[in-house]
Amino acid sequence: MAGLPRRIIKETQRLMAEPVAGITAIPDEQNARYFHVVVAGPSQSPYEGGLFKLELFLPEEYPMSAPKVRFMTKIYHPNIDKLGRICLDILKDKWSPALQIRTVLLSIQALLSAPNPDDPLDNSVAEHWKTNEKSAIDQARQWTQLHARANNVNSH
Amino acid sequence: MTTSSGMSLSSEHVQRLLQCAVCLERFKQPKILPCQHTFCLTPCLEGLVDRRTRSIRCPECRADHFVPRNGPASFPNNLTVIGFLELAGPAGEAVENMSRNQVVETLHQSSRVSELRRPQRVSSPQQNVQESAAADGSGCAVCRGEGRVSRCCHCDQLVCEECRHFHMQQVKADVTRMISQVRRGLPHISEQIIAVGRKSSQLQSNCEHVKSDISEALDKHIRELKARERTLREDVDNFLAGELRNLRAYQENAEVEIASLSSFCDSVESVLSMSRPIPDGDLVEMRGQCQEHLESVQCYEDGTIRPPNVKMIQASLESPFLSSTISNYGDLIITSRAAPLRQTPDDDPYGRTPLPYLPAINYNEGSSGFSVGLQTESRLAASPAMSPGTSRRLLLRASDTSGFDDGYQSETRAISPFLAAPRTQASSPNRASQVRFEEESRMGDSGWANQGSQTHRRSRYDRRSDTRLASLASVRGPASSQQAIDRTRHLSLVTLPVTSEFDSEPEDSETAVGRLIVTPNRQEGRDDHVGGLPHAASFPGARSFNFLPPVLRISAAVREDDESPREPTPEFNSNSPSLYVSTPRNKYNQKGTALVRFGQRGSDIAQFTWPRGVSVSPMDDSIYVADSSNHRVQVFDSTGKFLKTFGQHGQGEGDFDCLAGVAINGLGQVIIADRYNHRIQIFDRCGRFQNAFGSEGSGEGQLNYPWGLACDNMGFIYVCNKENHRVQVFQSNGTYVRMFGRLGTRPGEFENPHYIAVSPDNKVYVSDSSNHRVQVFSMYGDFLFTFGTCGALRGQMKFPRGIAVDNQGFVVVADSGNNRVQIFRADGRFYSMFGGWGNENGQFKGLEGLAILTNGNIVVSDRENHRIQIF
Repeated sequence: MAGLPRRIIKETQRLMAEPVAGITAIPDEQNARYFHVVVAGPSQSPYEGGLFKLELFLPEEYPMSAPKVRFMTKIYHPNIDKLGRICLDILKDKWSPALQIRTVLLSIQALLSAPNPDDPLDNSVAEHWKTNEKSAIDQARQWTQLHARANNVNSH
Repeated sequence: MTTSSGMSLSSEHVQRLLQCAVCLERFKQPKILPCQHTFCLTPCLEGLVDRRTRSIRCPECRADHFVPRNGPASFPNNLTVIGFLELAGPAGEAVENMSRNQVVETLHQSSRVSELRRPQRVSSPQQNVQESAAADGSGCAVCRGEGRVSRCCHCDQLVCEECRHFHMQQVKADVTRMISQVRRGLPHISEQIIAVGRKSSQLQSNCEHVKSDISEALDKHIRELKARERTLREDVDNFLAGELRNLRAYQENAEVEIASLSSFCDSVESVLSMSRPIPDGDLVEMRGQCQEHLESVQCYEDGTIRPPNVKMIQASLESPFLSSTISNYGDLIITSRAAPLRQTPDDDPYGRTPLPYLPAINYNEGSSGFSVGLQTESRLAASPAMSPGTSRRLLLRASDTSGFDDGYQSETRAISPFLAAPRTQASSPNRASQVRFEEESRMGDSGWANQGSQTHRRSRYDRRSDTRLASLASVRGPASSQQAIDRTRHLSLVTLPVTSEFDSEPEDSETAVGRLIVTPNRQEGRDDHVGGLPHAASFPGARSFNFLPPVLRISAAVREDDESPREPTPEFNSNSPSLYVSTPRNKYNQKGTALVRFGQRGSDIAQFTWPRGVSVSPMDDSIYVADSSNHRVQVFDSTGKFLKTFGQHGQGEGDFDCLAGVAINGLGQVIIADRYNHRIQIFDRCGRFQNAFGSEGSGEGQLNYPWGLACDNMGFIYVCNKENHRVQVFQSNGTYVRMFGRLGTRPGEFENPHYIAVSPDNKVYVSDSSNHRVQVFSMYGDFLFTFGTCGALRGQMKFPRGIAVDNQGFVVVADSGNNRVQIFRADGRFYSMFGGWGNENGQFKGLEGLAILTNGNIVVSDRENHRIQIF
């Protein structure tokens, strides 16, 4: 790997120095472009109390292209499919080099707070959300309890 | 870090404002976009240009701007920012250094926090940063500052003073953390120390237990031996007393005779010497009396009346079996348990060793042994060979018991002649220690033996002539069952006469499926001598036997992966000894280099032309080689020294035509499969012809190219009848008994069976050559299981030939097609192998017979190399 861009170094340092509440992002030992991310489920959301594990990879073109982020922990969310892929505009066409790892993760945290079933990635979940939001939220809560319990994440 | 405290928020904020949002550096050539957002020209703005649309999207507000013809450089400079950058100047640098310092420190702290959760991630971001910076090779490896750098003694990086200071603090923190980790680890080590202490004490107590059990077992046998000694001596005393009585009676008679004769002579002489005339009548009478006395004196003179012959007595105490049994007596089985703590007392190995045949004594009763990682299980193969009960036979004790025996005997015979053999053996004089009374007297056995025993003795001798071999060869126990509580010792695997036991446990009848349970009615006799011993627990009065038909349990036979034969399983085949034996006494896995090689092609002494069968004499460990195309048997000692040879080509007695198999029975008789003469010949141990039987054909008792053969420990001869695809069983005198198998590939069928071996527990192993497998049968010919398939992998075989079973039950197979020797456990699981094609040491060309020496070495007949190799 060519030298790590200074931007990534800076971002990493700042992430460690000024961690975002509810988010930890730790670079992999072997690959500084790969981050182990844990996002706490936002309060007032069905994901409250869960710790969601994500992987984040900074491609070669970063920051000119968006980081690749994926949920490792199963989550019941209309914008996240069962493979953990995230439907989030800033990860696609709305990416901007002014965005950072920190902001991306904050956006994801926000996405947990505000599911957007109108822009679904997982149609069945989105359908569930639209037809019976309460039951969908219950489901999401159950899944959180089932898959994203704090001790589970650490043991992974 | 005192400087950081002086850091004002506003100056930091200024620094933030002078930072490009894309590269996060201080602006270099700041260009302002139409949307009023400012970025560095290179690489930030240049990297953002969409060449296709010649547009640029502001990273901050995502506004699209047309890129001028000359590229982003044509965007106007942000003069305000440039002014600030110039203003800040060196101060700005300093501020930046400060903030970086702070950053690095906090980074360090946060990484410590994360370490608590992920100890393996020790300062990984730091290292990554260092690596990447080092790749650039400019300035401080951490902050890339241009300041004075020095080499860090820890990580060998060039770093500036501040970074180094921080780094060393980090190292210090690492040291602290590692110290605390070490401290946390200490209790584990001390726990282990305690555990090791506990284990060693448990091991010691375990070993003490085993030792006391060994002593107990041996003491018992010593007592038995003592009892036997006492019995034998008593026998001798009785014999002596009887003989002395006879002699004394004769002496008294003779003295009375002498007295009466001399008094008669005296009186007649005195009458004659008297001058008084003797009446004629008296004279005549005197003459008559004289005549009578003369006759009686003449009787003495001419030998009509003779002093009773002195009977000779001698003790026959030679027993190669006994000493070999003693030297092989007892097995120590060492097992180690990976997860000792999970063991419960219910996992007692008794459950694991339900098999009736083995005299397994488990020294781990209870749970104590199991909490130890290493558990030693000991098994003593004990033999009641010297059981004094058999001596009652010699004593010819009370006639009622012998009557009982005879009754039993006939009963046994009535059921099956085969059954008689073990019984006969049991009731015949114990060859292990036998007092033989040789009667030289014509006067019959009136002397010391009482009347009631005469018939018995006669019948015994008759029987002995019937099955003279059986009476001498050893019989290994039919089933006897292991009893955890009694810790009954049973006979060992080695050849010894049987005492079988009958236990009242209901499962015994199950475990004894397919076996003959002979209930020894010599229990009374034994009780006389060793009352109170565990054996006494056997039914004293039971004089019945169970003969349950052997059960075919093929599934059980191949149940090789079953880890937990914990239930007392009635499977016939699971009685094999080696199921317990963790390691063979013969170190098969260390074999592969021939210890001894001898022979080459030729017809001289110690040369061979296609040697085939080999056999080892149990008497003296000599090796008998069927030198097939020289039509002779050559005999070597166990080191390969030539001893003798016998046989030549021909059809007469003692002649051979391409002999193949050799076997030697317990008497040392040599049994030869005389292949092209389609017969079996028997020679005595000196090589003198004794007997021959069999003729060409496919009927009962007829042979068609007999190949390998084997003897079981009762002297029955098992012959592989290669072209008839069957195994035939003969008595030691050649009487046909039975046969099993026919041409085919299914279980129990053969195609060119070549060699055969009988295991110590009387299972018959046949190398079913053209089916590339080994089949195992009970001694009655019931198919038990098979192992091996065609192939060259471990456990596979091609045209298996020679086969032998050691006294632990390990099966050695000459895998002739693969030119290797494979060793299997008694249940057919692969154990090890050695050999390959060639004529070097340890290589083979065309394997034939093999045999196992007493010391566990394997004798292999290497046919195409015309030699014998010993491994």
